[in-house]
Amino acid sequence: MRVGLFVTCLVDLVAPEVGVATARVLARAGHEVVFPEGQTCCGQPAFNSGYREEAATVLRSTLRALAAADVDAYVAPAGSCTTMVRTFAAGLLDDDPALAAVAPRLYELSEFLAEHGGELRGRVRRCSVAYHDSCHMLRELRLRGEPRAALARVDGVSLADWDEQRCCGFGGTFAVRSPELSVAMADEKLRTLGGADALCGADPSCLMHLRGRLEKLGVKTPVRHLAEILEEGTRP
Amino acid sequence: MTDLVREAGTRGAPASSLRDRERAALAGSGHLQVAIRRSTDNMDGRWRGLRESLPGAEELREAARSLRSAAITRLPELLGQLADNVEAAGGRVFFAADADEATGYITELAQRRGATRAVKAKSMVTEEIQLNARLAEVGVTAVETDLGEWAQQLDGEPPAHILGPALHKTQADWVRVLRPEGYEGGEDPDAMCAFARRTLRPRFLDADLGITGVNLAVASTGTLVMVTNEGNGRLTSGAPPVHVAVMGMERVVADWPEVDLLLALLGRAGSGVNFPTYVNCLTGPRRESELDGPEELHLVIVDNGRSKILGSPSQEALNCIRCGACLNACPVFRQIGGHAYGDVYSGPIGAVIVPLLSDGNHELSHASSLCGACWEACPVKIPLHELLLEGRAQHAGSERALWRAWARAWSSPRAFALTGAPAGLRPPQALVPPPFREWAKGRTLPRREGSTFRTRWARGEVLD
Amino acid sequence: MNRKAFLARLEARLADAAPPATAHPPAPAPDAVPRVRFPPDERALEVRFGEALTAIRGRLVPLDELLSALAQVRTAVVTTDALALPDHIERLPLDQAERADAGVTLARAACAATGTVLLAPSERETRLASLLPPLHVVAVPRDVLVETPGDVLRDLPRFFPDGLPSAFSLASGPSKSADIDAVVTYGVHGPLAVLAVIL
Repeated sequence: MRVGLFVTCLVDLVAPEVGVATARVLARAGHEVVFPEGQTCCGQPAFNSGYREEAATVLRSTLRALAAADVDAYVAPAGSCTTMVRTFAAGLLDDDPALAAVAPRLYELSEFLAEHGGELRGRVRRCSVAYHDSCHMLRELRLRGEPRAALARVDGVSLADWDEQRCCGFGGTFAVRSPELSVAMADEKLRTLGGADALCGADPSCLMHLRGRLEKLGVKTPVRHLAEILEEGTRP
Repeated sequence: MTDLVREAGTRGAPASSLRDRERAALAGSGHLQVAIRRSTDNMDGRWRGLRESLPGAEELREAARSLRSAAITRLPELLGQLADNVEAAGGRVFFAADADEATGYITELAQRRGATRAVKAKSMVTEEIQLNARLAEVGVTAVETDLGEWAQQLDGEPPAHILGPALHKTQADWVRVLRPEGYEGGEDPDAMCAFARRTLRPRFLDADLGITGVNLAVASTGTLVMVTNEGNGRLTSGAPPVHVAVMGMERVVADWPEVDLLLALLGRAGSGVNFPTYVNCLTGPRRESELDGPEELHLVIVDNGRSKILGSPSQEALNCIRCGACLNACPVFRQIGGHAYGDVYSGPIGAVIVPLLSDGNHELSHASSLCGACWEACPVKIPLHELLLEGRAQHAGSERALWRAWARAWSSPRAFALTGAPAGLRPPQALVPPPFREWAKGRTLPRREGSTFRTRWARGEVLD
Repeated sequence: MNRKAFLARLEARLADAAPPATAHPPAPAPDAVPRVRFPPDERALEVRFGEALTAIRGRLVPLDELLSALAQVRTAVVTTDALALPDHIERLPLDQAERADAGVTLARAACAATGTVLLAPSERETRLASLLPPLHVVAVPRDVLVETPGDVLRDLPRFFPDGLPSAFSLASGPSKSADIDAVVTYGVHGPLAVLAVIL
């Protein structure tokens, strides 16, 4: 398939390695990957703060950029931004043709691989991974099995037992409006990490928050996006 | 009594900011969090287990949601029918537009009856209208009889949870609270429970007024349904000569089959039981042929801001059956407890309805990471996370200029690209929405390695 | 506020209702309220009633063991003739339930799935007889056993053919509370123990 990457603002500006890994994994699964120019952000920071018009402005411009690409599907390495477009955007934009063109064809990465991942398989050194269920992905997109199935494509990866479903405390601008509370929530979750070799998730925003907290605490557990583990395991 | 706790018992705008209250709650010894986790994990775990064992639980919740929504859209008709049927059964009905009208009716009634002693079964709406304080002004001492609520009253604290008002109290706290009442035992829940029975029993039997809430009111028969596990609802409504039932206007249902469904969900979600211990169903006061029961039954139907929610985008908040499941599931509540919300209603449902009911404390809609655990737990599936977003949108404004600037920049790919900091540096603060310096207090700032994704793509560095 | 103005305000709000703030609107209400079912169980109603009652800290006592079960009881308020009480028990007037060791009452219905009994006042039965004494003894005629609380709540005219009494209660086991440090305690207000006897 011809797949358009929606890398999301955070990946583009802060964690480009996640975008690179996503593109490579999709290519290795046999897809032609393109990067629609002009995309920026899904508008969620403003939406979650209650600024709907401003969110709509940014969302519209990204949707227009995505819709202009000639692709069969779109893939985002972020459950939250996928949710914004698929679930919440309709309440912001009335009958927007770009939204109608993009939303039904936008997949979160592991969701896409579940349907179109083909025989993609790989191997890493034995590694126990604490997978973090990000909230939008779990409760809005209902993707619980898919990211785990994606990890299962990589031999050597095992799932660690931890408090996987509790919110990490990121919550978008919540993390800066209520920083002490946000950190306390991260700490409660991270206390259950135990001896996992890596913390993994499918939402770069949660991972940025959790990595920042672990680093502040001096904990060396690496924090990896799902795409990075898949990329590492499937290197030619 | 701390400021945090004092503010929690009041309505309207608390003096301190939400963040200050969060910080105060987090700055304690950690006992608060330990106690809350113990209680809420227990209740949330039981409800999860029961959801799995109840055949067709999801369909029942969906149906309950639809039925509650339908009842709310028929509110004028159902309330009219309810009032007719309560009156036909010999009860009196008073429609109270606000807290003053509701408390005014009840205090006048107390004065007419020459009442000085009242017993109360836990009721959030009477907390909301601050009934105890109004009764005290006319010389009526109201004793809370729900065990946890009694401890809260003795301790001068408002309830910290819809269903477990004292769930933040340790056994040592309980001993401290009961000691002045004459309790001589130690940290032994059974002994404290027996002490409460001995101490409160005479209060029921001597009371002039019994005041309860209403869990559900059945329009078709004029029956008030109240649920307790302790039995204090039956005693409060059955022993004193006058029973006053106070209900939020949204608690009406059309007919009994809905009661079956909603009680099954309320018992499971709220107390972790298949069916509540006592379901007390009252149709009017005592009949001539009956041997006991109140001579008078008064139903006070309270609006107090609820009609502002009706017809609003947040109307579904009126579907709430006050089970407390959203509090038990909430990752924020377990950190800060009920009092930090600054109102009698706390947790996700409190964060939704308090700003709507009181037209104050608008900040509360930000007391959530929007994780949706509340939505997942709600037995009637209220999309609380979306209603919190709606609350934020309703009171957006003070940051408008900032977000407008952000929107201008980020809707332009060129300006967006400029937001990217040079490799290895932290992103510049000017274009990054709100104050990221707060971020850095507990977390390292993110740091990009190499160029932005779009630059790498343009250079052909991305694919193998 | 008078009723008319109160309800008129609600009418006005509903007439001008905004669309709901959700991407997940509720489905239309079903024509019939779905029944709350319990996992299927082929055993006899009375067996299941006993098991459910035991699970919530009540007890189902065979009739021939009633004497030993009530050995400690010296006084009782009794609102039913259905149960022959041991001779050693002194019957107190109904208005003295507060003094009694036990309250003996009749169940109008009993639910097998939950161990629930339906209690209601009458010319003979008080609200407080089943509530004030530390022990509640409830006589359950076999023919009032049903499956679930829904079978009672959806069929009230069967149990109250002359119309609803001013009060009825569905009671499931002894009075309980978990308010002290999440530890379950019994008898804070109502009975500490519930004994049921099937007749």
